[in-house]
Amino acid sequence: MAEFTGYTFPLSENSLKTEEIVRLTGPGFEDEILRINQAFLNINALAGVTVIERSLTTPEMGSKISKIFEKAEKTALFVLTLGRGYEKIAETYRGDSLLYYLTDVIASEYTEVIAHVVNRKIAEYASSLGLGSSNRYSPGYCGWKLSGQRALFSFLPPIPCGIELTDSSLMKPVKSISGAVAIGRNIRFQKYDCGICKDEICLYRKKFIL
Amino acid sequence: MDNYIEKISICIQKGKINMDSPYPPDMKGLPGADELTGEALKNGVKANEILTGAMIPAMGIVGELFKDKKLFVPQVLMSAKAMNSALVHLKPYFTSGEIKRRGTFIIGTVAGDLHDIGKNLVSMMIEGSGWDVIDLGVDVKSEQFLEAVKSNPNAVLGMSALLTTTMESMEKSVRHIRDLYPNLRILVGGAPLNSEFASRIGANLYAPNPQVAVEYLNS
Repeated sequence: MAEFTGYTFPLSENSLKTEEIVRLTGPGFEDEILRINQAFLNINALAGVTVIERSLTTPEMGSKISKIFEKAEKTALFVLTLGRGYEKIAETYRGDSLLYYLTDVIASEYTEVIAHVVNRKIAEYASSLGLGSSNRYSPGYCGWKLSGQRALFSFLPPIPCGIELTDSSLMKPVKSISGAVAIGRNIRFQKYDCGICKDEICLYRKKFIL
Repeated sequence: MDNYIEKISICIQKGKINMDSPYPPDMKGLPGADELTGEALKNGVKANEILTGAMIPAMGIVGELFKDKKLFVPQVLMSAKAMNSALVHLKPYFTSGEIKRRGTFIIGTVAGDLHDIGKNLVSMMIEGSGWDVIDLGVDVKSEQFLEAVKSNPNAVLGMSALLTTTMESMEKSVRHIRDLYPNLRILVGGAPLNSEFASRIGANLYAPNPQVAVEYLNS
């Protein structure tokens, strides 16, 4: 088993501005967003990265992503989560459809923020070796089947960062992301990467194209 | 009378729940769907007129605007909350049989899937269109769906799945229920689904948004 390096990222150091959240929720609920966002600032997101000394290609990754990883000399596999902290906040607001929805949106956005931070950390590591690194890819996106989650988790310690997989490959706690980044001499970060996938309803396509 | 109907309709469309609710800002301090429905009933407006003249059409307008991406989810949720505040006043009339629901709709997220935001939104929109909704929650097994259908034989069944892996679980449930209830109307929804999948597994409809589900139910 390759070494698994753990990180803690306080959300207070990666805080979202109300206006960034309003772009996703629409206007009119700024007070509610401010209040909920404040509660998130007490959460410490957890992340962990394992680097394996070869390319990772599994049948579940699909041909598009596999093409990128075939060129890699190393693969960084990561998980990250907002942990039980999010679940406690969500539980507080479960009875109110609006606040519960806003909590979900804010949590998803923080999960993405932390994923960017992890992607950047992996890029810095690759760069320190004189290598390039790719975008992050996750099971369930860009043709990588969600069932591929099991192969990815097989390289990680049991219950990494407190994340467990359900029978349906859903991660628990729910606001978690797993993925892989290719590292190598011929690997480059692509500013726009939706071209490799045809999923019209993907949330990333919405975010980056629409 | 028309005045109450129009006012209640506007409150629901704009998500104005009651006097204390600060939303929407341009209606701050004004009575909401809650107070206006109570007043309307006291002043002799028929419960059925409020339901069919104000509430159902108002939620229909909200559903259309959401389908056309002219409203954000929180705005729809506020409309649903306003509608629910009006529905509370109509409860005794449902109980007495003076007004009737259009039917019963059973909904749940399939086994292995814990996502509930989309399902909740669909539930609220369908309730707002005059249906009685039985929400079985998340991670619902075939047997639980079956039990609910058995207790409500004329109901329409809705299933939600947000994961590609739980689409298999949806397929299993639909096929199982379809074998026992060949004429049951089943609609399915969720981001990874499409019409082709719905038809292949034996569902009657794939609803890409709540309004499509409402239109199907009311057709």
